[in-house]
Amino acid sequence: MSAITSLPQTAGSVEAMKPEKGYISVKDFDFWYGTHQTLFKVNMEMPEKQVTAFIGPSGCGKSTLLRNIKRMNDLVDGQHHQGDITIGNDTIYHPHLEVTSLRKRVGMVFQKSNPFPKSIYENVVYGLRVAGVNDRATLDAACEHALRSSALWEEVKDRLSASALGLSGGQQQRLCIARAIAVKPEVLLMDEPCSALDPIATGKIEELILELKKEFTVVIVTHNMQQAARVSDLTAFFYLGKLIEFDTTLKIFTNPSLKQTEDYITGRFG
Amino acid sequence: MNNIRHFEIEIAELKRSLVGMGNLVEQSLSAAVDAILIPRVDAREEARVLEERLDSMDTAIEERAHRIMALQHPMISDLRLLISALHICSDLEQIGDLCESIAKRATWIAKHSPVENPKHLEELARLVKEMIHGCLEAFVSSNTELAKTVITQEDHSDDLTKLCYESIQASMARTPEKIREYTHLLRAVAHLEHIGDIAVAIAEESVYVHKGQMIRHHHEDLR
Repeated sequence: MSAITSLPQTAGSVEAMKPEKGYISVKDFDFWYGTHQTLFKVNMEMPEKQVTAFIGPSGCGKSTLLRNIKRMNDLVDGQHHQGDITIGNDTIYHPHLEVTSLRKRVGMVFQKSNPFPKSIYENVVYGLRVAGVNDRATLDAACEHALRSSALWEEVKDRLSASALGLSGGQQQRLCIARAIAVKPEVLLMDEPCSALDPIATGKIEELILELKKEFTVVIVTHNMQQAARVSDLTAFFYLGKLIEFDTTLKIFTNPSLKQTEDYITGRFG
Repeated sequence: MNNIRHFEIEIAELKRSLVGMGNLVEQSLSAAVDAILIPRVDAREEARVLEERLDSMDTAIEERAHRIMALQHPMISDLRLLISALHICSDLEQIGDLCESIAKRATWIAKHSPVENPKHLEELARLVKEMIHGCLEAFVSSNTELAKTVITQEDHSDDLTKLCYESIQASMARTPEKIREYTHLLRAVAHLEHIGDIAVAIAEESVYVHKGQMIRHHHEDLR
């Protein structure tokens, strides 16, 4: 086992303050799948370059809200919404907003890693190629930067042309993070990114999240309470489509304002 | 939810063990107080037996708390309870040691010359017993008001201790041939005051467990 050479970086919860105006703002947001309403008047402000965790039992609407930040529900039949979500100064549902440009600004990592059946290199630069970047030197630099940022460079630098499908589950997930950040998004959404990983791979992703927040605004959905406590600055607890409590992670995990929040975190309901 | 049920049982057992240890500490304190008010030679042995029982209870509670922490990963108020349980059982164990020391001094005095008790010793002993009972009751019944009452009693305990010291010093000056007896009495009074301080620490833990507020070193608002 290697010696510990430096203290781990804290999640920043102690310093975190719940902002009045966030980088991602959700305002009076309702959402329906057909006639079924899944989100009710959600209001929250997620600060720039901090990690916000969404927690709550399955079906509480946390993934729905996450997907809405990237407008991934647009193609779902019968979906509709009320209210606004803004990123920076842009309303993401504004009729003149180009959805493609929004999706470049918002990266997403899913529960199950989904590398393309291509080389490691081509996976990382995929988004750049789609955006029309073909200069080899630019792609090489972007690939190395993204792989370094996702803590994967040292493990794959000698086999960039090997198939991404040959990587372990944890490596594949970090590759997906590299692919997401290669296009330099402002926001990184993570939907249970460690739920299929072993504790070692999970630890690496969590360390990575703490590094990524220096550059990106991160929003993570997780069912792992300890993970939310370890990596996030702010935590939002959802139940039955409603935002029940949203505060600093330190507050939520040491002395939440509502008994319902405490009962969920301590496993007494949900 | 079997896991939660199992967890609730573990927590309930831990609380029950703490209450049991608290009851034994009250018994030990009563015996020590009786012994110092009317010194008797068998006080030390009686206190030693109680102290041994407290030691083993302390170990059992600590092991149980560590096991729950390691296996159940408690959070929020459950975590606070476990942290405080560890502090409180250590506090109670320390009170047991102090009671044994008081009884030892009472036995020594009983075997030598009788001493004149300070006028305020009985009141101090009664107050300290009340503080210990109060802090344990506050912990068990989640009564933060009672905990705050115990905390505010610390000043009175300090005043009574000071009066006892003055009285003992006067006795030493009057009867220098009994300096050793009065030194033991002085130490017993100091132990009683220390037990009162520990009652305050337990009361603070009680507020922490039930309200999540750390009020140690911040008593100004209570007075």
